[in-house]
Amino acid sequence: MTVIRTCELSKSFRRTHAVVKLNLEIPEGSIFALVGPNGAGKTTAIKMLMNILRPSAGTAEVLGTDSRRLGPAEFAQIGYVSENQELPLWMTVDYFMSYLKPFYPDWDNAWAEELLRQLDLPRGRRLRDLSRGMRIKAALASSLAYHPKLIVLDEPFSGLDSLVRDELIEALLERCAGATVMISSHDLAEIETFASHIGYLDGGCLRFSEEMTSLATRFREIEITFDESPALPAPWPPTWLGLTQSAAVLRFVDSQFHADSTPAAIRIAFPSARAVAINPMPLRAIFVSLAKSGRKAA
Amino acid sequence: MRQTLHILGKDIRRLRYDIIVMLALTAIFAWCAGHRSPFFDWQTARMNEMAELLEQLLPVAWWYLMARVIHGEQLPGDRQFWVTRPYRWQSLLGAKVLFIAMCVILPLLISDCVILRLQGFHPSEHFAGIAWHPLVFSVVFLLPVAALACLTVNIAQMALTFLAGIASLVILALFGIRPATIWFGSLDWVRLSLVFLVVLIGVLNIIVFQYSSRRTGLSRILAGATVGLAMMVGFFLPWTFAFALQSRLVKSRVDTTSISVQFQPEQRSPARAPEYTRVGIPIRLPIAFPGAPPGMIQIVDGMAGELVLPDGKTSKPLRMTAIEGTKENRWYVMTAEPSLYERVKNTPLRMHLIVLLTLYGNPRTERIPLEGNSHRVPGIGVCATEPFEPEKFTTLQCLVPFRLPGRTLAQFDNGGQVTGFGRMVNSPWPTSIGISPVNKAYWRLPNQAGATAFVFTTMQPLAHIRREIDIPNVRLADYAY
Repeated sequence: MTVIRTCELSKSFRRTHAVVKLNLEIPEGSIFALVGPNGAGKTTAIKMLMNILRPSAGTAEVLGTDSRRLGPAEFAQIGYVSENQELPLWMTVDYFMSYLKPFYPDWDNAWAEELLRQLDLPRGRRLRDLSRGMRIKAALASSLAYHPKLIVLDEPFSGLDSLVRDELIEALLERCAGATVMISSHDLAEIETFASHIGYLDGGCLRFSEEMTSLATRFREIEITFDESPALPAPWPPTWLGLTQSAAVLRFVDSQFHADSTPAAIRIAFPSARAVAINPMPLRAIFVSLAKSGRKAA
Repeated sequence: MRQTLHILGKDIRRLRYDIIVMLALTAIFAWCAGHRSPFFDWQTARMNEMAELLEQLLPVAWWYLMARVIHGEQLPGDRQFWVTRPYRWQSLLGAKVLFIAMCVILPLLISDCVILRLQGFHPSEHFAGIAWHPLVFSVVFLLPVAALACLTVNIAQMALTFLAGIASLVILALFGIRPATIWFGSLDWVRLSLVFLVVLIGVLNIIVFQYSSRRTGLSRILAGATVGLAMMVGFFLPWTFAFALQSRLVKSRVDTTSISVQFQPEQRSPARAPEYTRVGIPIRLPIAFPGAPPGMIQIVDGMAGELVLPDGKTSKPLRMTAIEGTKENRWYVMTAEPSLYERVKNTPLRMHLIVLLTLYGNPRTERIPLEGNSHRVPGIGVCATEPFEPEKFTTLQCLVPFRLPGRTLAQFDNGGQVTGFGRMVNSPWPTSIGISPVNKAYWRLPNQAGATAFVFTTMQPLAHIRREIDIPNVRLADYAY
């Protein structure tokens, strides 16, 4: 079952196209990471999904409901936490939780208590007196206490120190079993550790969306050593990105690596190669290469 | 309903200190306004000053409280935590309405009763006023500000928007676009009622639309359209339309067929030098309205005339701008454009006049001694006389619950006439616009030797009448002196 589905979803602010024809499907139970550089349109896309912004064109379905019609019944099953969310800062942590409780039929008191304890939140302190990380934790606790089916996190780790980040990720993984999680981030190192699916958004366009395992399999860094400076094949394959050449060594990233066909293709393109090294890539390196290559070959 | 009460509880908890201050201010206002005196008195002067100060401050304080409660769940923007929580918009709106009703309107209602009681009026005798005052107050003072709060993110933005609106009005006034106050006089309630009706419909739509959809851009366009339409009505409403509406709304209670219009050329006003005023040339027409039923008087609300020009076309309408003369000989001053006047001043022309009159009756007379304490005047309130610049004037001041009767006429008991205008209120609404349920009204009359009392006559509007008359062979030059 698909929890989120978008069809040609677009958003423009006057002449700026923030999101362009986004087609996305997020399966139930997945942890979907929406990544991309700053200004890629991640937050705008999420705000359209949450019915905070109205799409300029296209449609989105969230939990089987048109995103423009999301109402109390749907929000009772969605937990949304955003880095720039304005919380009622005058409330204490305790009052914040008890205020939200009657809004949710599935609010779990014991679970809420447990969340507060595990996230080490100072119950009597006002939200305005909490650090940024603590506020995110409070927002997260208030968004998990009713066992939401869908958890949407918009840049939750932005600006947090690594210790708090680890705590949040740990809390999320431990407490969201069975829920679908959509998380936007440009913190690729953390995403890599727990996301099951990933989508790459850039300039408002979704460059790809696939399972993490598939992504990790199809990107490889290729390093070819020659005896002397080689001639480059023409035309250069469009799936080979980020070419760098230093004397007799050639490096690039293959964005469509196949264990069977890619080595053969390299041999044909570079018959004079002395040695070929094929290395798996961390997520961060994949996105750096995509960004550097003009983001056109994903 | 449960969610409504839950949000209301949160708002009360959040704003408890503001509410306490507000209630304290309202209580002080009620106490001070309840001890106002109709005449100057050193003992109550402080009370008067304090009540007047609070009358200015309280609306600002109410607006502040309303803005705070509405901005608690601000509607414009995309960062508020509550928009992705299971709030029902009806519950949220209901909570805000309940809060305003509990913390602003209910205290006002109680304050009304306290002020009336302290002033010696029994609230049960003014039920219509007590019921109507919060409604008028809400439409005039609260709802527009509530709508503004729905369109803004904080008080600073709200204040800036408000100031920008005031600046726009000033700029419009500089360009000569300003309210057509002239000759609306007793008809002004129609114009004001229409303006506030437009405002009411507009702001209710804005508030409901904003809470149900949070489409601030569209709501702001709606707000702009509402302001524009209200200004159009306020500035450009034809007075003939206002009169027609008044006649339709207020049913005639007497037979008015005996009242006619007569042009009396022999009663021309005494000769004087021709005048050129800023608005044109005054043409003083001697007109009488005989046939009023016994015990009744008629007052002209407005008059418009058209001249049939030598080429057969009609001129631009001439508007009545003043009434001069005595009860026996009245001249109704119509103003003609200088260019038109110069072109046709010596040509006999046919003039078509439309006259709008209000017939007043049911007179009630009270005698108020010139020396002594305050007096209760049925139908008015509590009145007192006070010598003002003893050699010249005496002032009659009254504390009036909710509103004045239709027409009030103050005379000395030896027959002296009331001076000035502005004591005709044709509005059928049980209250005037204001914060306090008890308002001050005063009449200032030149002193008359031998007078021992004011004779105070109140009358009610019984009918609004339209009459038309054709006057042949009018030479404007004969009446423009």
